[in-house]
Order: sequence, then C-alpha cells, then structure tokens
Amino acid sequence: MNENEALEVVLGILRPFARNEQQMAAANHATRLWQDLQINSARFIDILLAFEDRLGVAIDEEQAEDIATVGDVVQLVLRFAAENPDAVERARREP
Amino acid sequence: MSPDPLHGLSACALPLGNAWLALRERPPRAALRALRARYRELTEQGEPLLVCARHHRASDGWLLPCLLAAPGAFLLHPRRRPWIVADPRSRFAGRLAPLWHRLGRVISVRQGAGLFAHIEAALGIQSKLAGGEPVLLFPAGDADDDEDEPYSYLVGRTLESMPATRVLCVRASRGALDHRVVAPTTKHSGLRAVRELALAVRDALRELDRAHS
Repeated sequence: MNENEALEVVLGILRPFARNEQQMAAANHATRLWQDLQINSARFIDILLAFEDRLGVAIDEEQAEDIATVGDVVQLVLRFAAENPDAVERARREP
Repeated sequence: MSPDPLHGLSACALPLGNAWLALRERPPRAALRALRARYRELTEQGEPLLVCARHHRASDGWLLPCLLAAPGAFLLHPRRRPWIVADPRSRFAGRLAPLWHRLGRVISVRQGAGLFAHIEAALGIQSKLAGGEPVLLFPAGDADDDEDEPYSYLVGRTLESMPATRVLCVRASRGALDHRVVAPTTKHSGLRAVRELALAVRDALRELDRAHS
C-alpha cells in the first residue's frame, strides 16, 4: 500500500465523523483533525474504533495520543499495513 | 478553611449563586432537597464521584455547584466543592474565564487540544477523585447540540480506569431540576470500554432531558 492508497482509506473512515464538511471535502495530509475537521475527543475515539473494525487491528491510546493531522493517521495506517497487509487492502476495497 | 486561599475566595461567590437561584431560577424545592441530600450522602462516603450535566444556560459552571449543597456548605467542607472541567477559552464564561480559571477549582482542557491533552486532563480528574474530591463536567456539551461531546472521552476514560466511580447526572434548567445516579459497567476493555462507558453517561443525560422536555 502506498501513501495515496492509505490516504484514500483514511479519508473514507474520517468522513462520517468530521463536523466541518467543507474542510473534509478538501482534506489532505496537512488537514488538522481537531481544528480543521472539528473532531472532538469522543469522535476521535469513534474514529480509532472504526479503524480497529475496518483494519482488524487493536489500537491503544498511546499510539494515537500524538495524532494531529490526516497525515499522522496515514502514517499509522501505513504501519498497520506493514503488519497486516491483507486487512488494510480489504479496507481499501470496501466502500 | 479551604486548602487553597484562592479557592476559598472563589467559594465566597457561591452564596451569590444561591441568591440568583432562589430569585431567578426557582428550582423545585423537593427536587433541590433530594439532590442536595444525595450529593451529601455520596460525598460523605468519600467514593469517587463525577457530577455530569448538560449545558442549559451560560452560567451552569457557576450555578450547578450552588445546586449541589446548601449555602455555606462548601465553606465548611471545601473538599466537597466539585472541581469543574472547563475549556479555558469557554464562550460561556467570556471575559471572566481567565479569572474564573485562576480562582476556581477548575481543571482546564481545551476541547480541540488533541488526545494527549485529554489524557492529561483525565489523569488530573482521576487524581482528584482518588483524593475524595468530586469533579463536575459537561460531557455532552450544550443541550441544543446532540452531536457535540466535548468531554465525553474524559468520562469514559475515568470510568474505565476507576470502575468504582459513581456518576451523579443532573438536569437543571430554569424551574426544573432532576438527578439520577448511574454506575455504568462494560464487558469490553481498552478504547471500546472507554467509549461504551461514555455513551452510557451521555444517554443517561439525554434521558433526563427527554423526561423534562
């Protein structure tokens, strides 16, 4: 999986949780989750759980505490892809 | 005396809140007596206690502690006065926010500060609870906005880390007052447990709202 494919997976998972739809439509690696997409801590946990479900991985808060941008999430997904390529590839193919 | 003189000073503002409640808000007396008796009972036991509510008015951070105990009670028992979790840039407190945060028993956490800041705040809350001091927060934000859950994570994280914590859910708006004690549990662990516990409290607050709408 390359960065663009990971970005595609990440944006697909983030979309339902973003409060700022305009920013979501134009989201890229630099988009800030908390400020730009107006995702709060509860939504952020929902997002992590959605990643767990879609990618078949377990995420703990320590792995996620420094995530600030879409690009940070992409890097996390790329790490998961290295560990579990099949699950991430499945997530990419799902709508 | 209050352990912190500045906190004692801000406690002096609470009787003003009581006067405001009596003159303007007029909570039903029976409900007020029941809430105060419950709060006294829970705080006397010294068990970890979270007080959760939804924002129905701008001044809730000031008025809710006044509802929890009789005038002067927090001067006599300062450790029973709840710490309040609030955003330092809160639109509710406006220009007075910095003063309020300086004087009051406030645990500051910016709503958009990222997970790390919220984890730090959750640890702060847990340290107060472990010391037998209650903490008040508004996990589900404004009652008009069902999508917002600014501090829901803090509730879930605290309940997951301290399962013995009890949650006093309060519904207070002009002329209406109700409360319910919940002690949510979960079969999950980790993040899923955090979220499930947070949702249980959010739903209890929503139910209280529905019962009075």
